[in-house]
Amino acid sequence: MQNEAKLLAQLKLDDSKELAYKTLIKRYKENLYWHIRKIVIYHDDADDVLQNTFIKIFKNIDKFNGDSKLYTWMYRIATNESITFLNSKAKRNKVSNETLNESAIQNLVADVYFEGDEIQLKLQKAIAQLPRIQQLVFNMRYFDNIKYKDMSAILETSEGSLKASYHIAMKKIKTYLLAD
Amino acid sequence: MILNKANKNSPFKVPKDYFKNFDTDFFIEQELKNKVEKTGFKTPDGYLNDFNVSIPKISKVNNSQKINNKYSIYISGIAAALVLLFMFSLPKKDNKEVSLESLESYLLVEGNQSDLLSNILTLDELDDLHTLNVSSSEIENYLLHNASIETLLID
Repeated sequence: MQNEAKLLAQLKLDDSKELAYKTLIKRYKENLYWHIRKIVIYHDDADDVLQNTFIKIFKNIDKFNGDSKLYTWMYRIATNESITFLNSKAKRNKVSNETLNESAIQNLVADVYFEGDEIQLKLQKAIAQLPRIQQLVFNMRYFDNIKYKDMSAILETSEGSLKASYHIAMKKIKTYLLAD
Repeated sequence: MILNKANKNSPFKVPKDYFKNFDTDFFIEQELKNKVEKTGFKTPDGYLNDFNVSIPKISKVNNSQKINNKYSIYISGIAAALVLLFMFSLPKKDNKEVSLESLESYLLVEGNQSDLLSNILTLDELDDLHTLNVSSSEIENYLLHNASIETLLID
């Protein structure tokens, strides 16, 4: 936390800004990449969104007033960028978001950047059946073990509601996995 | 003894079905995590090590934005002046269309003019006008010698 405060201070000073940006990218690129990747599925799309996310972070860092943690603020930007990207892609392809999501999962078997086994593929299919908020909550909790408190700051939703979403998502996934 | 009673009547509550859900979530999660712990996604070799973002020069961008803003005020001012100029100098399309109400009120007001032929001439004289044969050269001569061009233009 202290490191984060120091980094933030450096990001706001002209002299230390450039070096601080490099540190920021180095520190958070991996976590943000995997967070984005789980939302947009394809590597190339995740790469585009990650680039946009960092550019947005740089452009808006002066507006960040420290009310929340720097990392939850960045996760919020990454989440919004991912959702905006998917909405634009669906619009461009003239399909619904659900259809886009479904086709991404169907194409996962042929994706060179997916090396999951049968159960991993099935889990991705189960996640794809969930409403978007449940997908986000499940991925953040199950794979990244993000605390509900932080998740609440990222998704701007109450902790109680997020816990309920996770519980429902878990039950749906279990039902889906046991169906076959 | 007193402590036992206090425990039984604890003022704390938990959300409905909390313990039931806790067990369910915990066991399903553990069961699933034994089978799947990772997503299965991977990146191209060395992608994350090589990842970089071309850092925009924020401070310079801000300065140029300030300059642009300054110019944009002038440009907006000029544009607004041009719009006003065109608004007042060009005839409105709406003028071409005359509503029935306007036409009616025009006829009512203008119809009372005392210099209308119908007010000056009798019915017989008006009938004679239909048979009046005057050549264009005669009209031209009359106007040349009797009418004032300035007065006609003003009228």
